[in-house]
Amino acid sequence: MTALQGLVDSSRPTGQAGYSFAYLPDDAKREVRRALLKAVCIPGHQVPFASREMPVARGWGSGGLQVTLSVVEPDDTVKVIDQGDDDSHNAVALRELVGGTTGVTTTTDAREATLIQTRHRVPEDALQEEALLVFQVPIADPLRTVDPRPSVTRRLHGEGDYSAVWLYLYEDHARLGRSSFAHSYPCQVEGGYVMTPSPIPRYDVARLDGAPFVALFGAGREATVYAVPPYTEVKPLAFDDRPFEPEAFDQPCWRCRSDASYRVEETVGEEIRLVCSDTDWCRRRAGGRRP
Amino acid sequence: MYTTVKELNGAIGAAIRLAERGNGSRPVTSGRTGSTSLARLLPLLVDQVMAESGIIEAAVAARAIEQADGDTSRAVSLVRAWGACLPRFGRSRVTLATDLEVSRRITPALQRPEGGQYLGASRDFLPRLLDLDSDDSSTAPGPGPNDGMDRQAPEGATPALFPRAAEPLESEGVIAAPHPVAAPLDRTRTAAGAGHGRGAFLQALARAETGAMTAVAYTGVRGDGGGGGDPTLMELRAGSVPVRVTHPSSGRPFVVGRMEVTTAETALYRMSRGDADQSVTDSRFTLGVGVTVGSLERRAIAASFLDARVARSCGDPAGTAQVPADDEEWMLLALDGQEATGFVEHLKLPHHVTFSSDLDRVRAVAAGQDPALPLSDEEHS
Repeated sequence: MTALQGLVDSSRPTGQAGYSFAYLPDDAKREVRRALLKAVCIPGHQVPFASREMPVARGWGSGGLQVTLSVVEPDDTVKVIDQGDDDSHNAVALRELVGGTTGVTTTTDAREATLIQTRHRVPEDALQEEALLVFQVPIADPLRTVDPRPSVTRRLHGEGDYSAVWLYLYEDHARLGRSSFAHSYPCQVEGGYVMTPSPIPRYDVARLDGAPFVALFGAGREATVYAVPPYTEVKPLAFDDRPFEPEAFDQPCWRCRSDASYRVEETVGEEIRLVCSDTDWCRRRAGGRRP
Repeated sequence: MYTTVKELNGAIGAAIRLAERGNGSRPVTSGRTGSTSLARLLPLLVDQVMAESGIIEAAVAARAIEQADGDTSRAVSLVRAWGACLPRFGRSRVTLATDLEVSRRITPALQRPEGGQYLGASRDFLPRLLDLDSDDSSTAPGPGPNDGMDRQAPEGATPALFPRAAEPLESEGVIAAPHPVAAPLDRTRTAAGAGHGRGAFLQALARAETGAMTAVAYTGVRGDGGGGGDPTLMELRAGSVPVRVTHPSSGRPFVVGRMEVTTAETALYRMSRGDADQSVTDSRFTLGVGVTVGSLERRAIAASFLDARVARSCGDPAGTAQVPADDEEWMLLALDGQEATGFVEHLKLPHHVTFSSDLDRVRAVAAGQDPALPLSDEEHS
């Protein structure tokens, strides 16, 4: 056990809770930051990186977490949401991990946050240039739908050959009368690479287009990052005569009466209500009442 | 119906307390029962966690198993995350197969290999009868270290270093040279991407989830994908190998420790099914190599078989593998236990935003407002 104790001791650099600032060792952060720089320079391009094993399971935000912990600075204010909700268990656990290993201020108010780690939503507040959005990505490759082999899709991306996705889209319209892409709608970034905008709903895809903030995407299990820099075109693939359709809602939010937010269903007794998925934004609009 | 499970009243803390109390339905984990005794009681479980973690430290693995209530996937996750924050001081020098100090050696392909066979410690031939009487079956006398000596072994030989059983056949030229040559590569510190080659694949197999790797190997052994002939296990050996590093100032190799490993070499008939038009035929054997930490032998056997299958089909055009056992790319994606269990279990996370997007599509299509595009047979053919 002496050898073990030596190993354990040597793994404890100075810093909060026995770990480095923001948990990751410096060489791991450097690896992620290099990949992110490349990603920002080549919008929408999937950049491989040496994804570390994190203290959360693969597929539970390990990629978003590596991005967040690699870019967070001591004066950041951090917000973490899951499905738009700050109170979701997963969001709470990740927020505590980020807060606990950095000591940074955390918030639920998107307007105060300088760094937002999100699972599958863009907050309803109009985010500004100061904001950094970190998306947790389960499936990084939009071409997975048409070919499961990375060796093939890498080549297709390299050659800009997106005909298979266009064909898929065409067949959807021919058979279903519509596109079947729900969330994860494939988008072309600045006329170049086609990317999957993490599984955010189509409603949010439109809000990435030309947005003033930096959007960073981290897929830990798939060991890939990609990015959309500020003021970059994000164009969902669609035919000229078959326009892209965001989700449609037939009722306003039951709580805050918004008819311009992304809403999800809630069943209370027999009644199905629509409520905003961005809970903090909705709460503020509804006058502070907790959802 | 799709309301998020919320952390409003300390629900996470309560759930953790329930789990740690054992929820009343199973025995309470009594905290630190002593990882050392766990390592002694369940050595193969500890081996599995060390192998799948890629981190060889029995006391750490045992502690992780305990902390994870025996869930090997979670134990591996704990160990790997711990290791991910440890500094890397360097890499070891190449250890040769013949450096392995053998405590067990069997050669199913060869009746009388040079040096003989040595059964060593094994329960292979113990009838699988559940013993409900004994409190602690692990105290039953197993084969001792000097049992099972093959009579064909030289009289008085001490089991130690042996030549590889396949060596004479390699000299004769009936086994193809290792191919492609494996260059060591650490996938955990190297960006994923194309063309990492056999070294990366062997590392992936060394860390692969035991059950997943065994299942894929099984499909191949039972004949999926064809390719001519059964695999033959040339040699299975277990024992310890020295870990040597280069001294930073003198540049000389020195031993920093030893580790227990099991290695397997499997021969497949026919090296290559030839190129696309079958004009090339290579009828030599292909040898696959599998190595695992500890003595969970099916890990080494499965890995050696899969290495041989991939080596044999490496001359085939890319993307033409018909079954998983021939498909290196597929196995790299599927066999890591952490990636698999994490992603399958992530389905427990809330998905109401994406599900409501799905619902929107399903309802829109059901409503059928837009007529389908005209699509002629000609266009569709």
